[in-house]
Amino acid sequence: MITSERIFIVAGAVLSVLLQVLVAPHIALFGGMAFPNVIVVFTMLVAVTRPAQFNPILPFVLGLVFDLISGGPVGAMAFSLTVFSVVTALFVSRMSNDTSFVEIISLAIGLLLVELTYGVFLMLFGYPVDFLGALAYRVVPCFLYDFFLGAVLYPLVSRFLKTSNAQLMGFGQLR
Amino acid sequence: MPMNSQQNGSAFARRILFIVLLVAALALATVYGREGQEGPIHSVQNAVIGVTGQVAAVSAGLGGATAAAGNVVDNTLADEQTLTALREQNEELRRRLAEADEYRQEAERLQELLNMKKTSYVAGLTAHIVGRSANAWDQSITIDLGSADGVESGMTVMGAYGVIGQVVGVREHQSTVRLLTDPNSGAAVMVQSSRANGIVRGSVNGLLYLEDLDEDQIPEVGDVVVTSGLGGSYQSGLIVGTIVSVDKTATNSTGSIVVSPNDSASMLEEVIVVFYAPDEGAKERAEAEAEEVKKAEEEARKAEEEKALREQIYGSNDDPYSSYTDYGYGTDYGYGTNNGYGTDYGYAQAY
Repeated sequence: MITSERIFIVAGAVLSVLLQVLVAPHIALFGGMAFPNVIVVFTMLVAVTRPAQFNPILPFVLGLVFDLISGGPVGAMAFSLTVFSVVTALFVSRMSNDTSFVEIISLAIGLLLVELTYGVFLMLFGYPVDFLGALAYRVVPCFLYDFFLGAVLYPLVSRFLKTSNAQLMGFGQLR
Repeated sequence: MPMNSQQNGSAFARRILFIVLLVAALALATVYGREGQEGPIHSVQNAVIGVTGQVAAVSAGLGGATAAAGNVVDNTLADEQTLTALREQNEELRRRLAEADEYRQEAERLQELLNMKKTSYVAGLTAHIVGRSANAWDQSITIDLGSADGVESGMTVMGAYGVIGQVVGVREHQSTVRLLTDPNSGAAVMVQSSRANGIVRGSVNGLLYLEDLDEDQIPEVGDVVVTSGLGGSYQSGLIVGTIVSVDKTATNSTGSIVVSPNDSASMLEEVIVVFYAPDEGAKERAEAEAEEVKKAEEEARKAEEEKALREQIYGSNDDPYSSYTDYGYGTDYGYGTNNGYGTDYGYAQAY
């Protein structure tokens, strides 16, 4: 069934891919060390704002698209994003605590784990960098940028997805 | 109860889907790691990168159109009374000024590239940067020249002041250039003053490190580093950068030597793909050629002066003897033809 929620998610996914290709390279900081990952941010936002309905197809497809457009190992981001978005959604859902604090903390942890796992994947594929170097110069700067973007976009995504979901289900709260 | 069983079924299906997707992702990653550059997943990835590069190129071109559309919207929304002729003129002038400034900057950048080509004696094509990597882990750019323009994998790419990277992927009308600062990059270089050979490698912190030097050939700060051409990966004799730090206390035998690149792709919009770089005697040959051209120009100038002198002596017409030779009997413009004797070429007049 086509709902406004699904339209929002599909439109957001397409927009995040376009932003990743067209905008992200131009707003990278510190010589490209801090690079926004719009696709990851959007997926994790959906995971924390509608955890009960979160479908693993979304992170898999978006992760695969990221792998294809970024030139990295195909499957690496698809795996990282699918694992940690689903785990984050499960965590938020199990917490049964519909507060922004839990969702934002979950978002932060999820983003960090996705960036970290992706970095480990690249190292396994022969990327010539040691773990600490990767952590200091790629994972943490990218995570901080992602989290900043996520925190800025969270009210918008949260408001839209929770409202439309509540209207769809016919009761006041998502969970 | 039916609701519960439906939810349980849905959750179960989702778990199965989750596991299947994870297995699929791992399988893709494994195949990707094992197949070569010509493998099917790499081919799909290259095709996708080609498409995104074209999208990026189109969007870059749309920048001016977007600005123009913005002006139209502004004008439409403005109060009619405020749109006086003076304001329109002002807007027009501002637009032209912005355009002129853009052209001026582009001309300056291209002039710098041209100067680099002249001073380095390299032959190559100028390319626009149409895309940049969408990933922090990959330091690469996309340029608008491809196999159709003669670009091949492995070619050296330069900015206005030095080497910035190497072509690593070629499509019909686009190519991917891996920057020197990428940790996967490595260029065979030599220190210009001592001729010591080494390798410049990119790193995750964005610096270039000079490695694999002999222990007795440690360079000094300020030494210039140029490509050596060893291994054939980069054209030889092209400037890479300058040594800015030599830390002999570092753990490896030659210490930690940091090279500051002469050029940075983050500030560039155009680059040169080097098709041919000079050998050792190229500079001398080019100077000899330039000297010959200068001589020929000098002789031509003297001939012009002599001609002008003859004109002064014999009048405003051409030298009659040369007229006879050029347009006279037996020639294409000779006597009895439309252009001949007594016509525009003035044989009769000259006599």
